Amino acid sequence: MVLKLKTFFLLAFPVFVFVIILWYGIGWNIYLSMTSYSMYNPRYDFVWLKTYNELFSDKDFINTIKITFTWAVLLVLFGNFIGLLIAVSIFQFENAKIRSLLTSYFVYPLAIPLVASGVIWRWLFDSVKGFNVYLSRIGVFKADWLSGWNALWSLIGVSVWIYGGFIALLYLAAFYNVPRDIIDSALVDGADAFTLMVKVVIPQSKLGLLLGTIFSLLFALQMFDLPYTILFTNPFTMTMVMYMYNKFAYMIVNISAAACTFLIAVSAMIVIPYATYGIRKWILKVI
Amino acid sequence: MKLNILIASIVLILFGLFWAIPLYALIIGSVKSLADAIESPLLDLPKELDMGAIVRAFNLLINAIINTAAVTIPASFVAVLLGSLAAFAIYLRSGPIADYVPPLIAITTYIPYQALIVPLISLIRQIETIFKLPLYDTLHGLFMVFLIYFTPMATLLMFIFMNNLPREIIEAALTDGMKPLVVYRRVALPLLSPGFVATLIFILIQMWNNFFIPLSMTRGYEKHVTLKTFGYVGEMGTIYNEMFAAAAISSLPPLLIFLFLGKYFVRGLLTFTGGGR
Amino acid sequence: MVNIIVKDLYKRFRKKEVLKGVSFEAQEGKITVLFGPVGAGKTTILRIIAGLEKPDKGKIFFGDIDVTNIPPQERNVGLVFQTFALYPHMSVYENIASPLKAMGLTQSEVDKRVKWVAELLRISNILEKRPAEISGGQRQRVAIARALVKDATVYLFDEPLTNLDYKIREAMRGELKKILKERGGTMIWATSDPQEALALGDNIVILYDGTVVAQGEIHEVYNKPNNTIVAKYFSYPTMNMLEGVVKSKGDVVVVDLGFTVMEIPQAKLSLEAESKVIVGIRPTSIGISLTNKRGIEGTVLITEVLGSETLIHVDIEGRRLVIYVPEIFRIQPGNKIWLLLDSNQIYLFDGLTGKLLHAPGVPHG
Repeated sequence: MVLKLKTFFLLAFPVFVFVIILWYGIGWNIYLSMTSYSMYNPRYDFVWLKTYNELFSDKDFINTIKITFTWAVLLVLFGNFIGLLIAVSIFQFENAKIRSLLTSYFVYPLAIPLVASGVIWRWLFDSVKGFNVYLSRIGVFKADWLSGWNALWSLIGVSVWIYGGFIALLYLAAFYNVPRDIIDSALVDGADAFTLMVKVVIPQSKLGLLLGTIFSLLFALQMFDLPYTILFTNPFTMTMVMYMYNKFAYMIVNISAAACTFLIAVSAMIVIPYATYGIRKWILKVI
Repeated sequence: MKLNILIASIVLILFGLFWAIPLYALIIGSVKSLADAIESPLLDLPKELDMGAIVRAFNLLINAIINTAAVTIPASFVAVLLGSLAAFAIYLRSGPIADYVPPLIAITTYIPYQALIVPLISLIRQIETIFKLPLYDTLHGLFMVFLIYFTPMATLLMFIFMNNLPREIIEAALTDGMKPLVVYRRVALPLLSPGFVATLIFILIQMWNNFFIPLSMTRGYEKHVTLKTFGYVGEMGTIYNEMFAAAAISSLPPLLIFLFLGKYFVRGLLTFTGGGR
Repeated sequence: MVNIIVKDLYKRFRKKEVLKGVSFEAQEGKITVLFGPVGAGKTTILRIIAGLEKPDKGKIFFGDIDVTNIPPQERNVGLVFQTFALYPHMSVYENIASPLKAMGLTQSEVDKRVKWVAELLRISNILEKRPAEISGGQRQRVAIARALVKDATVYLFDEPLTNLDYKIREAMRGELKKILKERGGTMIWATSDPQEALALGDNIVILYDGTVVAQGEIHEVYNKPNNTIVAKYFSYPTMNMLEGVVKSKGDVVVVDLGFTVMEIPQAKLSLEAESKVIVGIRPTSIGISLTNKRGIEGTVLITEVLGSETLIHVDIEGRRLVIYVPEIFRIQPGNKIWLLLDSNQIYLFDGLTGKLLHAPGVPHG
């Protein structure tokens, strides 16, 4: 016992307070979602699952589930694909400085507030002044980037631009973890760059795929700033978080809490098995 | 040139050009004159450099920028400091605590943080009534909520960096007779400084760029720079130069930090994911 | 100064039980060698004494005081890690001064002590350098200096010479013995090298498979190993072990080794006929003859020339013997060689239990 329990709590106390608050938040969400509390009915009547009934009967909410789910799937697919492509390309360069520089370059969109990105892209998608001008100049089709369902596809594309570099970073980290002697023995056996990637590096990088998928899912579930900035409360791009915020803003607290709980449950199902297994493995270096 | 490098370069140039388009649009858009902005399409070069939009946007944003800096810089520092202390305590304690506490902390960082805003706001309200301390729509209230949300993440990151330290050096400090806090100050912290800085940069950028938390915790747009930028979107209609200037100004601090200190962040992140095999 | 008492230590790591009831005592003022093969648990024991690990069962006493539950920063122990564990961001001076600063000594007192111990370890000229800038041997001296600079209740050394060059190791041994004796204090030195143990230790504790299999004054234990395990591990070069069958009746012990029959009149034992024994012969106790062809005939397998000594591996009718020659001696594999075994130098161990039955009376060189 290197550290007395007393000293331990002294050092870790503030963090524990915060963590307990967050866990309390989860619990309070569940409780709230089972009451009838809202601005129009400020009473904590316990109504069990009636709120959830209301929630899932709301067409708008079902819509947001579809939208968020679509967003998640497409971000995972395209984010991983483009991230892997960029990572493989960067990896071809042996020089660590060049790799670092290239990686930082593709990660830059994450350094910009999503709101600012939203401002830029809203204009890039503008029918009059944006992409369309240049597309018609070269004789390609013009698109209505932000109308109807196009808006969703366009925004998903933007999110790939935002997160693609980060996912590439995850893959690169996985590549760097491939033991040097495995690469060397493949090279000694005469493997060229292509075979090396396909037969050696990429299979060893399942960790990168796992991380890339988990993060993409989390990013999709948390999607708020981007659609809110570009299209505000447009129903075609309303994610679950936006729905929840909407209800919260109108003080329909119980439904908001129910949506939150649902969101937490979904994230938990995705993340927790990988997270607890992964965290223990990485952090504790259990071989 | 080897074939793989050639293909890789082509791929990277293609993606790279596409990646740059928004940044390019942002820069040239901010320096267009009003007339230019009304007439010309987005990606055309400015006919002349007009700093007017930037000046106007800056004047409107300066308040929010100061507020944001006043909150995020101390908050990120406190978060990482507290986080590193807690991570150190967990690391030293080892045993079952080190096995079970980190996953509990990790879970709070994985769930969408927005999902906890409802109970958090009601908690803030309760504290307000109990302590007669105004928190909602205040800078210190925002500071508190940022701490609550981001300290666990900081703890987790610092814990990962801590596990990459050679354990025996910490143990040597203990057998030298140093009390745990002294070990932290004299040995652990100096050795952790790259990780500390990386985490600090990461958290600072996250706080600066955050939109949802200030949106939920304050009224109006003055208390955080992302809110003010958002405010522009509705107001300015078809004139994009000032809007872009505002976006550029609000993006400048995190982008600059990322440009100059980003290598620590990337390096740190690589230890993070490469930390265990 | 006090005795360090280790009582009944049990420790398991995940599924593996590393310590299964270890008890010994390290006498005050003496150097006790903690000896055992790699993985025997030496490091674990030292770490438990230092307070860096907690035993599952058992206690540690510093004199009369039960320190088992006291954290390491309060135990006043000097520990030299196998990996040295120097602070990379501090100079050599600051590394050595570290325990003194933790105690709260004045700057001048710290300076005096650091300079004294640096002089002792002959590292006064590198005090301003960083660990990365000095050699492995120098780093080891800094690690030792950091431990010796304080007045510790006990000094613990975890195989500090193992990571060093062979040549440096040999040179350090003699020097270290002088330094340790000059410093004075209770010391526990862990090693798996018998020569190192013999060079440095006053007493020895031999660890095998998680328990103590022998302890006592070092030369006594060396000359009278109480079983085959101790004899095998704690000998340099490793003792030859040959299986034999007792063929005697009456007073004199006669052992049939297959390729020869030996009479061991010095062994005052009465053994059952046909019982199994193990005969132990040190490579240093076998004489060789090439021209006179006296003794037992064998075929040379290989010769190992180590520095200025040679080990000759000989095959005799399927049995293998190792002979030590204190000079460089080359002979081709396949050549015949004749061996002289002296019954005065024979060890006898029980064939089933491995326990010592007879040891030669006069200690040999």
